[in-house]
Amino acid sequence: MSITLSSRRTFLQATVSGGAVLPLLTSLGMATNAVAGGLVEAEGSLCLFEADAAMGADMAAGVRQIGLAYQTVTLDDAAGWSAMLDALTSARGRSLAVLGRSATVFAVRSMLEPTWRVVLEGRHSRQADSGMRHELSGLDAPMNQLSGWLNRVRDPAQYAVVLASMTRGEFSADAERKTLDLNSHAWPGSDLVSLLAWPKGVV
Amino acid sequence: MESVLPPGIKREHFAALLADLKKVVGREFVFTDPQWELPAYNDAYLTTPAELHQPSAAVAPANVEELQRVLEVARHYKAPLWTISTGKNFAYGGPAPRKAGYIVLDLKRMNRILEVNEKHGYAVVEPGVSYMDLYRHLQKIGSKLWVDCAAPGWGGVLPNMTEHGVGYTPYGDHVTMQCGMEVMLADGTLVQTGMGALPGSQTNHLYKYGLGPSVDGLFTQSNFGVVTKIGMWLMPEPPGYRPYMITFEKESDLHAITEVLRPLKVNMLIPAVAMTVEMLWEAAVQVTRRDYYTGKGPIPESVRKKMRSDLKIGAWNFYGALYGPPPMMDNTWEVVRDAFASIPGAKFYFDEDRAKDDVAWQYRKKLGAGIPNMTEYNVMNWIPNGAHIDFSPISPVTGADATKQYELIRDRCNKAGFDYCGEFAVGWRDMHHIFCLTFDRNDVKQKARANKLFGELVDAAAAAGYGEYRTHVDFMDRIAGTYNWNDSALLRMHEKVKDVVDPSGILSPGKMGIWPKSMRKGKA
Repeated sequence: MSITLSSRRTFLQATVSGGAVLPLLTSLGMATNAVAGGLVEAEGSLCLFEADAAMGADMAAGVRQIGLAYQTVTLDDAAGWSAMLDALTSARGRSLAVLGRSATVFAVRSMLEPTWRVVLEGRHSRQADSGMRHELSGLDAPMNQLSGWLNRVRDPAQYAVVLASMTRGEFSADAERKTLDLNSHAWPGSDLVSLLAWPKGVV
Repeated sequence: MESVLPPGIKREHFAALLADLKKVVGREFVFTDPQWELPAYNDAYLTTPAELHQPSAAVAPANVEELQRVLEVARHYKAPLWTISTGKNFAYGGPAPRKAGYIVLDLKRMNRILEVNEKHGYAVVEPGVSYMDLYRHLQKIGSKLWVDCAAPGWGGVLPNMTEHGVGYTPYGDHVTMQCGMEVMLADGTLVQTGMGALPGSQTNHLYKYGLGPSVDGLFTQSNFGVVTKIGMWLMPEPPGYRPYMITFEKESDLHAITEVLRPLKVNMLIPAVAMTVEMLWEAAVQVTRRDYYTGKGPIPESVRKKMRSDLKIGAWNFYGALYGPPPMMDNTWEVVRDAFASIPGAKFYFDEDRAKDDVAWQYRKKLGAGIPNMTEYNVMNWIPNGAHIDFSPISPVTGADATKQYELIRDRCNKAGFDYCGEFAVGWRDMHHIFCLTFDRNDVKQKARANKLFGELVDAAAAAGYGEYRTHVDFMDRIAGTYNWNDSALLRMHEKVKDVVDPSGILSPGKMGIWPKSMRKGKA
């Protein structure tokens, strides 16, 4: 699949129409008919990401194009932090995909629990061989489903779209937690951390 | 993680206790799920096993009436509570309780800003109000009062004061700026301290001491009561603000910097808390260690030199600010500049001299004007999975003491394989030396080394006559044990007070080494 950052919508449409992954996306809660029509259901999720060059892409343009609701996160000013808190307040009941540098994601996570439940955390780091190492920890089921995407997305923005699409799942609260260590091709940008959080009640 | 029980409480009694708490605050605000809810009350920066601090539950009352009833339930079952407010006391334990099984008493729902008094310059806040909240409120109402905030602005105004925290403006000594306190004792009695004890008092937040013994300090870093409200003096926006930075080339300059600084501080020519920051702290907020060095052990001098050059920082970096009408600032600056210019290699910078994307400068500039931000948190990006515990001894403001403390920590730190990352914050007559011991929280061996190093530093500092002003929950007993003059007379007095004001021993047992009688010596 050859998808550029500027055609993320095409990426998802192509992915969905690929057939084999259609059940997967459906199980992740993505509104496939909306995707086919060019829109991911914006009501179900919110993407929070650090507005920083380290993300390696114009995240805002990318997620906006696919129709995801998003909020940038910054540690550097009170207005930005307050905007993030406001976004969280209005996002009650929605799933969250969070991407950013380690400190930022940790700080955001500290504001989520226990209203949200962090079902998955990923640490994505560049390796000396210019590949990418992904250390995932969390619930078994979403992790297994997500792991298949790591080599298919090209950058953090595409990964954010996939993560944000996982708005719900048939996962029980007492599901097993595990860790997974995977490699993929390199993503642009530097090391980052990601979270998938579901609102209380989903699990 | 498995669920745990409060110490000394059987499972059936615990279930009854939780049911009673739910009657008080509602089902929604009693948290018991060890997988999904209670991790919010763990300390991600522990150097010890998380099981040692695993709470059995958390309860979040919305107001003093609910708090009163929560305490009643706790007394009935003799259940230990661990009080937190915003729960952001990271590096010192975060929201985690001293021991496993405690019930976290989470006050973040008590988050009202009760008063802002523009004329007299103060605000009255509940425990859950963060610096960000207060700043936002002041902006919204068009106030000309400044907040003096901790570096990560998500911290709470009240709990930062009760933990003896400091800020970066002339109002940086938060305990000094607190005036008027409401506290609930373990028996549910609500007490107003100072002038607040007078019904209809007109001066509750204007005069600190009232009549008779001043007791506010008894409720800071303490487990004698639950502080439910405080007044904080806020600085009126000055007619001018001009922050500055002075860089120094050599590691050994710390001695001279501190000697030059002392008279300037004592004579109030530098009114704000003055910061002397070591280069790695400056670097860590904007780059990662891996950007410069991938080897093990402390970063070599050749690499440090390149970092200084790239980031336009010194081996030591001094931050201060001028406040007041421009002519006054001009005059003061001449004195400050001439004093520091006596140190060879000193370079002076104002805002216009630093780049707009200079992360370290920009956040320090904001802090000096009471504008909260979280930039300093980026220090945790320095290494993968960054975490830290802070070792914070108090020092006299002398070059000899600063150098002695710096070397005491640096040498042990390097020997243990860690980078020294620290700063000195100079207040009225003292210097807080903050050593940010940064480690990989996913590396069990590194955590063990950090824990061992921290213990060694406590002992070495105490042997040299230096005590810590604040500490992580894991080290409270050990550090309290160093304050042992006259057969630990102070600790014994604290214990006597504890036994009287909290005979059931329900409030934060073990906080700063103070244990209730039932858990004291051998039972802890």
